[in-house]
Amino acid sequence: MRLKLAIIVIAMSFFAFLVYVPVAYKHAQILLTHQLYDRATFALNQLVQTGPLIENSDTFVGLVKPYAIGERGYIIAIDQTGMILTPHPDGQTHLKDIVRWSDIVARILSGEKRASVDFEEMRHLVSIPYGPYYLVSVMTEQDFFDELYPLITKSLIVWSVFGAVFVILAIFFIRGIAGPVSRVANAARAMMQNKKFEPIIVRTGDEIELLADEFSAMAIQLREYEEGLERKVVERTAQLETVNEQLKEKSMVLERVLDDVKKVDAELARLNRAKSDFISMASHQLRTPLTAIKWYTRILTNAGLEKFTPTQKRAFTQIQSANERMVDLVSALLNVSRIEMGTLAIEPKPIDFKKLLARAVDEVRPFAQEHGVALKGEALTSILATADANLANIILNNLLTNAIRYTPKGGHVTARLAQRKGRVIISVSDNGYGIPKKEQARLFDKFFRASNILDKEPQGTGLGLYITKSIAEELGGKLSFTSQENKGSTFTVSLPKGGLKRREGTKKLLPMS
Amino acid sequence: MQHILVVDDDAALLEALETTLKAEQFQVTTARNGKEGLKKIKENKPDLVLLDIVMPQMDGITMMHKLQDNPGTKNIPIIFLTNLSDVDTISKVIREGMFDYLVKSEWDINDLVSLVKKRLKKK
Repeated sequence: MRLKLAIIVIAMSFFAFLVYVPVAYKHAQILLTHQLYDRATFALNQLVQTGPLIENSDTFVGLVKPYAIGERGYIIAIDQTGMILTPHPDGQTHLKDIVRWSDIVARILSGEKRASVDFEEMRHLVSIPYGPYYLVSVMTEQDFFDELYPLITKSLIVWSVFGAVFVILAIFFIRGIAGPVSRVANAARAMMQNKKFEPIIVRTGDEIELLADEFSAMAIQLREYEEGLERKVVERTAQLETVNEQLKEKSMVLERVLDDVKKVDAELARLNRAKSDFISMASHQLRTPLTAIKWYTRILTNAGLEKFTPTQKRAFTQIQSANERMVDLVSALLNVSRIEMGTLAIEPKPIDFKKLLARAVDEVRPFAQEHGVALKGEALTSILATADANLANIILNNLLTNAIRYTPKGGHVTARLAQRKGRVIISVSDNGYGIPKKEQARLFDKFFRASNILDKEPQGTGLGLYITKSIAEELGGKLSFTSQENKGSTFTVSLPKGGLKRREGTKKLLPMS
Repeated sequence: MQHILVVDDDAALLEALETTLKAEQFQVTTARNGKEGLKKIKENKPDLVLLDIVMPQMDGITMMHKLQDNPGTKNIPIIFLTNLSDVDTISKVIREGMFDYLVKSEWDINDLVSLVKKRLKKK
């Protein structure tokens, strides 16, 4: 900015100088010419007073020489026609000179005393009348310029000094304006780039000072704002850190809780395993004495019960029946513990459910006949699915056995096969006792037996449906039911047709009647 | 009279089997474990062995192997008796040796006697 201004000033000065040089030249010429006129006039007047000059033309040159202007200047006398009366300094008078001089004479006669008539290397300076003649002072161009140049040089030096002073003053002036403006600009840049909000003091007493003051006010405001922001950032950061710390603490607490939960979970799993193990062990231990009872009751029957009184016979039958229930119960408990331990083997194989259903129906047909219940299996088409045939059979067997058991004589049980959305649907419907509405929610609970069948069917462990549902779920299926007391029930199992995964483990579930 | 050796650690079951088999006109010897069973076989070679699996001192599987190792006893038929529900592991061993086996609690003792008779007839 400052440099630009300086260049402009210097350039302007240079142009001014260029314009000034010819003007100064002309001016010096005019000035010098006037000086020379005066000097020549004075010299000629003095010459006239020295006495007669032209009478002896031989001595003329020598007489007038000291009064001539310049080193090579000379004085001549001419008549009114312009004829040179005195010898020319070079000793010759040429015709062409006469012509020229006549021109000068004409001008002299017209009253012009001082004439600057330039001709070849000569300069007529001044003529004064001398009797009927005229004395003419002539100066050579060379002498003129010899005098002119120092004059011009001096003038140029004076003007150059003046110009330089002007330039310097101009620069100072520019600095006076540009300096404060630059400072404002620099301060603004510093503010933008380095976030320095420094006020600046400019005492120029003009608009720049006003601008700088406004700038300073703005800078101070911005600094306060910035500091405020920083303070806020610091405060917020501190708050965030506090919150973060709190979160960390909470997360640590959560982790501890989670660890505890995991421990409790592991402990629960261990306890559950221990429980299942215990049930398994206890059941196994129970089986031997149960077998003994079973075999000894048979030994008694083999021997014949003829000697028993009716009461003894009744007691014996009760022992036998209780023992059967006990064996069933123990088998069911073992099955439950196997399912709950997750050690039940699953062997997926392609099965035709139509055949599976027919077989299951055939298996329970004697039981249905014994109960006086009509049994029917309805399967329209073959339905192929990947399933564990043994487990699927247990499900069907349990559902059918249940339906027959809890349907009074003369009732009917129907098993139907269908498929829907990639699932095999088997439903077992009966028109039996049904389940009281109030008790339906507890139907799948372990050991649950509905109140309306307890006296009708004392057999039953209360584990069958729980096991059936558990097996269905192990196979990725679902077991649901609808029931109305004294109208009947429908149990529906739906199994996926594919996607069953193989699992190693205990293959067999114990038969439960 | 055909001779049957019954090996079981449970006295009640052992007695039940002995009683029933004797009633069916079999000569019956009993033993409470595998070791005793082997001793009894040396004394009097039976026509068939009813062999429990889980027993103290020597279990039924070990005893069966001992019998198999001896050319003199190798051909005595064995029916395994078990009360274990996880018969999978045991039955594998038994199946490989082509033996009969039954789960005691699931069997009527009369059916058991029928199986013994059938097995002896086959022989």
